[in-house]
Amino acid sequence: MVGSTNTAREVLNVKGLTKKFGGLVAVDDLDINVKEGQICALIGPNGSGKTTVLNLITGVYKNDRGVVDFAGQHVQNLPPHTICWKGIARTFQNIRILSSQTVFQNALLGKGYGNGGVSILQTALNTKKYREATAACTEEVDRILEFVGLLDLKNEYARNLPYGKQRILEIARALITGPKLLLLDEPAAGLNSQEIHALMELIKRISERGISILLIEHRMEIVGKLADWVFVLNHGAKIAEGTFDKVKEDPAVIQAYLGRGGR
Amino acid sequence: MVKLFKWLKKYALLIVMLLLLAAPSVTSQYEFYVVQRGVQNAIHVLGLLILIGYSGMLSLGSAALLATGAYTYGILLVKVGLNPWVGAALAVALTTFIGTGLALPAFRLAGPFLVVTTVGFGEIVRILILNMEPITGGAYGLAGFAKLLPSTRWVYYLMVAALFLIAIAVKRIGESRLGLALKSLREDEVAAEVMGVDVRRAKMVSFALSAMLAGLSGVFLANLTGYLSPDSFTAAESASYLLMVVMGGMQSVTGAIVSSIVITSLPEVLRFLSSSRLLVYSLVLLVYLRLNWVRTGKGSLAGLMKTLGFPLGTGRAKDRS
Amino acid sequence: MTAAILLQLVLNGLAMGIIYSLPALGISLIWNASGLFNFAQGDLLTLGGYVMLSLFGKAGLPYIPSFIMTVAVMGIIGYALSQAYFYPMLEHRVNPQIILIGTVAFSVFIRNLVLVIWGTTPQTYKNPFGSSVLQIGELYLMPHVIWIVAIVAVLLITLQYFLRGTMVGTAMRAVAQRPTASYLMGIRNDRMIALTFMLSTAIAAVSGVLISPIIPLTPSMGGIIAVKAMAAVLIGGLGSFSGALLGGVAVGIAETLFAAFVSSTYRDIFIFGVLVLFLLFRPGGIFRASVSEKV
Repeated sequence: MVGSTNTAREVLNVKGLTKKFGGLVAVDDLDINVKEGQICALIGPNGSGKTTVLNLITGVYKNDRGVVDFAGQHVQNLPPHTICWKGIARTFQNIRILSSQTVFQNALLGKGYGNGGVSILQTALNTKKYREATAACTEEVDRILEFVGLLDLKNEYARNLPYGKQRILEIARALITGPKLLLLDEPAAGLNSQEIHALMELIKRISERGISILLIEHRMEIVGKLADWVFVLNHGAKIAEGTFDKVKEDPAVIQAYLGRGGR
Repeated sequence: MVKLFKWLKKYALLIVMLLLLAAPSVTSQYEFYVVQRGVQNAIHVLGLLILIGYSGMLSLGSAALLATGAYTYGILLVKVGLNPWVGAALAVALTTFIGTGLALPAFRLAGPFLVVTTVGFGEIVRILILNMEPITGGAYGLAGFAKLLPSTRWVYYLMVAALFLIAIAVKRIGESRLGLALKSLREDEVAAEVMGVDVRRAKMVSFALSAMLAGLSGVFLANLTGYLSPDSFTAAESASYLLMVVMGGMQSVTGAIVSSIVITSLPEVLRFLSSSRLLVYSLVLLVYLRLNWVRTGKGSLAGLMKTLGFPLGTGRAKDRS
Repeated sequence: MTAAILLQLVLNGLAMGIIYSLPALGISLIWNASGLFNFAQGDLLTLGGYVMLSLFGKAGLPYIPSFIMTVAVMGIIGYALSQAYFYPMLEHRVNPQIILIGTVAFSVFIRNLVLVIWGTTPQTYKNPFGSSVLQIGELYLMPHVIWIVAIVAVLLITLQYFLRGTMVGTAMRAVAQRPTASYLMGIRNDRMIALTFMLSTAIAAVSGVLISPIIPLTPSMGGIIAVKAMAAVLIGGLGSFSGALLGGVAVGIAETLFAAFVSSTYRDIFIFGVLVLFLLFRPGGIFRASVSEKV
């Protein structure tokens, strides 16, 4: 499972990433590597800085020190939309869809305004180029909605979707951006076991499309089944990495979880 | 009956436009003036619809942009002696430029912080107009500039044509990817930018378009009144434009046009209230906000009519959320 | 000589600044309690001033009872405003933008209500502090300057004690910080938010009463003061008690000095310029408030 990916190219290479909030060090000198086609997991006790790492990679927060290389380019501290256009997409821990828009419109948002679109004038005049661009977008959105299984709900308002489907919609929206790397922030939170099963299937299918995945997850059975490589965070610092089987035996990891009264 | 309502809804914009074209023939001279002001306000309010309704950035400085357009037109004609069409083009361009500059604070500020900034901008423009007397005429006002077209009637037709084209353009923008990007600013800016929406550019576009329409509306205002005074561009005026957007349903183009014209003519219908025009406006707005949003959880003319027991709302766009 | 003039200007600016501080404090208190930015604060101040005009100036009641009645009446109005209008909207989780528009509508409504009832002509009443100039060394001061500073100082100390030292004050702060938790602890959120509105409106009314010897009453007076108060609250830091106070005083002194030494015409432009600089480069104000929340 791991052997084949060892030789693959690195998609994401994070070195010495550091972020302080006031006096609190949220992320401390962190190194992370994600290789092409890999599914990696970022785990750690609550408050260990996992979501902050995603916010730093996607440019939502500016980092204090360190390098984020994506596909051979520095992307640290670029504006979030530029990072998105370069091929990093993400979902949020607490779902952030546009609740008053339809499923289709939510997914369309992933096409990113400003990214080689058509001009305002063409939009206002409804020119041929505008209509063609719109048709192309619509087709692409439909294809991805079909891929995740939301096509029949496309005209439904997003707020009317059940919780599990909203999570899937967020993933669809991320896929529309055409990512090489997908960051998933606790995608299974709040899902029932049936939905989790479907989600895991979906994540595998996304991975088969050649998209690398870095996911934050609390449920160890999901991490164990999906992840090729696991990074363990505690107090913002990496305390271990490796395959899941290796990491779960690591005394430092066990201490980090048990020390907090965990499992 | 239901079919008739559907038909009315579909062709609402066209019906409104036909009514406006017929207006000069069926109204008295004074009523006609009120309709003209209504159409002129509607152009401005469509700009605010993009800024406030679509993008969720509240501005209380819109009267200042209207003033910029109107005064630039007036000054270029009176003091520089330009051709009215050149003056109008330059006025719209300058207003767009200044209005786009207002997007810069919006990069960092939201909610009340942004509103206070726009209030400050409005006051600055008003104080400048009041005190730069050699150029603006100060408190005495500015007069003596030519119209775009020789007859008032033709200016009116030009205005209606402009309104029609703008209405279609604004509607299309609302339904486009650009419109979606603007609406995403209102709902969740962080999610939008992570999904690849260039938030700064979207904000600039939103401010630029709304300023452009404010400038155009200002040019028409100068054409209609032939006289400009700082009193027409106070913060209270900005508030009444805000009222027009809100009463139009915040998302609907036709709604915004209808509410602009109705609210502009309201004080003429309710003549007996004379000095308390804004008192009535604000009271109506307060009651509307309270009833509509608290009872139904969403806002539109149709929503209000529903709460009041009427089955029909004319000004409702199909993408209303 | 120059030092004395400067000190005199600073003291006049201080009196004016304190007038701004009170509505600014009201805006901050309401923001803390409910996340609502009240654009009508300045017009509530105007209304307070006019109620005082009717009671003291027109009906001829003695100063102190009129003062107390004005503050009480305005407090009740604030309470009612919250219970009847703003709390239901907060409770229904209405889009903050809509509530903001609601406060703007209230601002316009109150201003025009005052206009309809009392008219547009600037009005004033007898200065209760006397109009004979006091001379202290080289300083020439109007007695009301000293009184304003003294009255507000007492008011602020009382307010600070009320918010920090009493059960009700603690409950109000609890609602501001954790509405759900405090509700579960048996605190009536609606009453606490209404109480905050009452307090804010009452202190705005104090400003409205005290301002009369400085400038005559007009219906649009509150609008101008509100803009300064908003500048004060943003410069000081939205949500901070000391920020509102300090911001108001800073705005008052800065504008008095600017008017005296540079230009009185462009005084307001100066204040807005400073405000915009603050918003752009230190958006949290002097006492950093959190302006935007991220993920």
